[in-house]
Amino acid sequence: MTPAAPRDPATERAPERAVRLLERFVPRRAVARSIVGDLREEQRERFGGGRVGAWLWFWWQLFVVAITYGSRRGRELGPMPGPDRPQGSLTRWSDDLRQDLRLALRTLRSNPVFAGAVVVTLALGVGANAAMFGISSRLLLRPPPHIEEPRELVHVRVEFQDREGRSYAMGTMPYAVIGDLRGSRAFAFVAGISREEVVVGSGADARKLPAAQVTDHYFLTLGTTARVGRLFSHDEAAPPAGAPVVVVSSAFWERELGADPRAIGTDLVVDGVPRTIIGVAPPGFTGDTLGPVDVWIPHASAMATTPGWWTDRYRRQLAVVARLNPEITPEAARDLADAGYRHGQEGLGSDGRARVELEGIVPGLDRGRLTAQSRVALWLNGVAAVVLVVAISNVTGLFLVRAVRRRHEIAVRSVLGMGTPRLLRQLLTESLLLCGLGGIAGLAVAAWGAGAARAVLLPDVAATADVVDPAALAAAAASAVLAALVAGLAPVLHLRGVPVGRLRMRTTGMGETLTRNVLLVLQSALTLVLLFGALLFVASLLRVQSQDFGFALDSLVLANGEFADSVGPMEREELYDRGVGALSSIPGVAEAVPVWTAPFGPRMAVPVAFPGIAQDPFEGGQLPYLNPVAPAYFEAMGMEIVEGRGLRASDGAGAPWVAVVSENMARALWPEGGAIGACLQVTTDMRPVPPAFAAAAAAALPCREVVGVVNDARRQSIRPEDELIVQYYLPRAQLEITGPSGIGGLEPWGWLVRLEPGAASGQIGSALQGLSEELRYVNVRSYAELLDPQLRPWRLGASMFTVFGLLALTLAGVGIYSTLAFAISQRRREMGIRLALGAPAGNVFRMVVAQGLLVAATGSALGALVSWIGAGQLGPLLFETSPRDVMLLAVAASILLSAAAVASLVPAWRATCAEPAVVLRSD
Amino acid sequence: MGKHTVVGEFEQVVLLAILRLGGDAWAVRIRQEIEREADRDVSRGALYRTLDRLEAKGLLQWEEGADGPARGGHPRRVFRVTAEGVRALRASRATLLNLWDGLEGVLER
Repeated sequence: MTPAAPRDPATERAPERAVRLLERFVPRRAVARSIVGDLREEQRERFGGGRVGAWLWFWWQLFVVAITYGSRRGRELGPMPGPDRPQGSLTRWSDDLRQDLRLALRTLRSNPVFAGAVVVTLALGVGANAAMFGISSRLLLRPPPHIEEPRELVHVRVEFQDREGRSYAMGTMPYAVIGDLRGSRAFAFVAGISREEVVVGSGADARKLPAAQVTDHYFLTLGTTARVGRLFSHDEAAPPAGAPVVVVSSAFWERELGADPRAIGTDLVVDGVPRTIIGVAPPGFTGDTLGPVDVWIPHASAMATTPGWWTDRYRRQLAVVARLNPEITPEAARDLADAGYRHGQEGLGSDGRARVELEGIVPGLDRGRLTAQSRVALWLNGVAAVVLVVAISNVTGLFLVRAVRRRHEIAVRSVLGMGTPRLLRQLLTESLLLCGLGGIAGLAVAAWGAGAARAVLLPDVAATADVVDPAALAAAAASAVLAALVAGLAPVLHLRGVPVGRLRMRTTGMGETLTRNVLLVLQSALTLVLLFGALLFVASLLRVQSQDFGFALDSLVLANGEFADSVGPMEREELYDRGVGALSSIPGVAEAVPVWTAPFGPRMAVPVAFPGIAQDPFEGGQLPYLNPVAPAYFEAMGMEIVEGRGLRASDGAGAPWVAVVSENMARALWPEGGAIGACLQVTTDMRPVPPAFAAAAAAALPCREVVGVVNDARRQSIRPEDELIVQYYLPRAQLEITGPSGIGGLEPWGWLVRLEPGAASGQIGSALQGLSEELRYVNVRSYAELLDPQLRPWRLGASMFTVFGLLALTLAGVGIYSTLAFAISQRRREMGIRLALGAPAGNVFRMVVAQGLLVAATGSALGALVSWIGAGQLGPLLFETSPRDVMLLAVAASILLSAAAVASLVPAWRATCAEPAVVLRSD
Repeated sequence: MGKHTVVGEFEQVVLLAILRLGGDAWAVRIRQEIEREADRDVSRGALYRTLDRLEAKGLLQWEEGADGPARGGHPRRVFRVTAEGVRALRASRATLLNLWDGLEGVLER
């Protein structure tokens, strides 16, 4: 009787558990034990094929036997000999559930189109919702990854008040203030961080990457540890100079260092300085906020060449994050921090109206702290919720349709004694099963959609931050259950109270028809709102993009470089000239000029006087923009000389001084005309002049004669109403600027390149990079790229409203189709009679389509009303488009009506196919 | 004939298998016997339910047999067909044979 092999206690306990389980279903213990024995005997023969498989087989067989015993069919056989055992309620419950599930699966299999429609509809609604919810929760409700006890962490800000009593917050502070806060006992740790881009690598290999400079204690404050190697030690990150070390992100380590642990200890060139890689941050770590960081460097080492930087109280560079002292309340911590801050500010002449404020690092739903990004995300959450409502009402409609179709069956069941609770449970089981499937499919949609949505919505959030999270899962589950309850209960509410006799009649009652039509109208209305929103945003986007910016936007590229500090001003000027030569030799480059200022780039303004004209000719005392330009500038920009002449190469240093003004400027200064030949006195020497001599100094400025008027061009905003742009252009050769401290110089900022139509900008970077070893990095951006951040709100609105609008349109179309198809199948008899009595098929066809259109039209009217009322909310987000644009509303309505017509076509065609003889015989 | 218990087709198969196995009939062997001789798949649950049913009808009896190490110390139920069971089988066979009579021409085509 001793076993051949030593027994594993875990597997020995299993048979006892098996016996106990089987005893719940098998009335006699001896039988249960012998069955377990039989199964064990057979299981042993299967050990050859793997023990795990054999055990799985054992438990599966046990389960099957238990189910067989538990089934009603088993119990119908009457009492067993042997001791009486009461039937456990668990047994009955599991039995009923099994039956309900089996029935549900059978009805689903018998009607795959219905099941498919429900699952797809819910998947879209649930998926859209879960994806958007995941994004919002990532932005608002969850801390950044790899942070210990995030609830103890706070961002420290200082709130100031200006003389008018308006308060404004300052999010960055000098390092010295971190010292004050550390001395205050408010916090366990305090650290600072400054995010910026750095140039990594050198030569052709150089690229800009997101980086962060952090102070000592930063990783300690967050409680983060390295994935490989180590993070900064105190000495490496503390004043005065830290150490030339660097920690890289996991993404960087995998992408650029081949995830090689031997990369630790090697050098990485950051901003031209070789630094030793000492560690790799954990995957997805982005510090105390969500922006991506590839390279972490000690702030102290970046400041090493600035003497005494850690005592400077004016250089506000660091965002401050702190871990609260766990022994005191947050309120007490705030007061202590405030006291510490004030102590540090003593003797600095601050007015004492500044206050330290602490904010948890998880933003939460505090209205005042929502970023533009979060607002958009919340908006889209709302839109996704609308899609979910449409989806649920659609599914409810489908279930209603089916409940009516199953009246006969349900009547039979209730005649056979199935009570309302049991009926309810059966219908709910079905809807839960289907909606559960829909929810699961929805998660797949969410996982796929969240990636796309994040790329559009959260370009500033590191891509490693996961978006489908437990919150999104919960949202998906909750919406699926909600859908199941609504969709499962609605038919029950309708069927309840209907006499059995009527249940047998296979016609539709007024109640369901009304409910279904109300649901369809609701769907259509919401769809119209979304479609209208999409059109408004698309119109805005098109109008923004088709604006006349005053220059040849499409073909222009701006390039600029970063030189090593060792390159002197003269050398740079020379490099810019050589750059023009290099660019001009690239095929496809029409024109290349050095620029000092550029639209959507750097700008410049100096005091300027106009003899004979009042002091403040422009709105609000603004200074006109000064543009020092090369002779070919206007040509390169594609600008048009409206009056007079442009600038020439002959307008050199020794020639008479000339200027070209913009149309706006000419109009403001010389409304009657006569700009040509007028005089501009431009202050180029900014050194302070004693007041007594100021007037004389101004009067002594030489005249620059206006020789031409050029068309207006946009400066920095794609919204024209944001500014009145007044600018003038002077030949660079005739301009020297002297700064307030006497040091001057006017170094080009970069190059402006106009490409031939269809030419690519690919070679520009390498051509410039080849100019000099001292050129660390070249940035080449087309105007389309430069304007992109400003276009984002409209692009976002247009794309997301369009996606959700089309989604809703599809769902509404499916809803109309399924409802009509069902109604037609109910009314085949009527159709047959109509046709038999000689109604032309065209009439029947039109009647059905008209029904579909009526629903859509009613929905459109309701949706138009809702849009009209809610328009005010959307107005500020649009561009030169009225939120009550009747034309666009009409377009949206006609899209909806067309979809409704298409959805009605098939049922209408079917109606005309009703063969009178067949239909009448069938009843 | 009316006083004999009616047995279904699968019940007959089970009873016959037990008779063929002699004194050596427990569930594992019964299943193997049916699968081998009748060439049909038998679900364990159905077999156990049928054994219980036949027992309830008084056509079967069982007693606890030896537990081997292969069975993890769990007893085996060794089945035996009762006299009533044998009578029921005979009755079934007689019924079938009566019904078969004279149908050879139709069925042996």
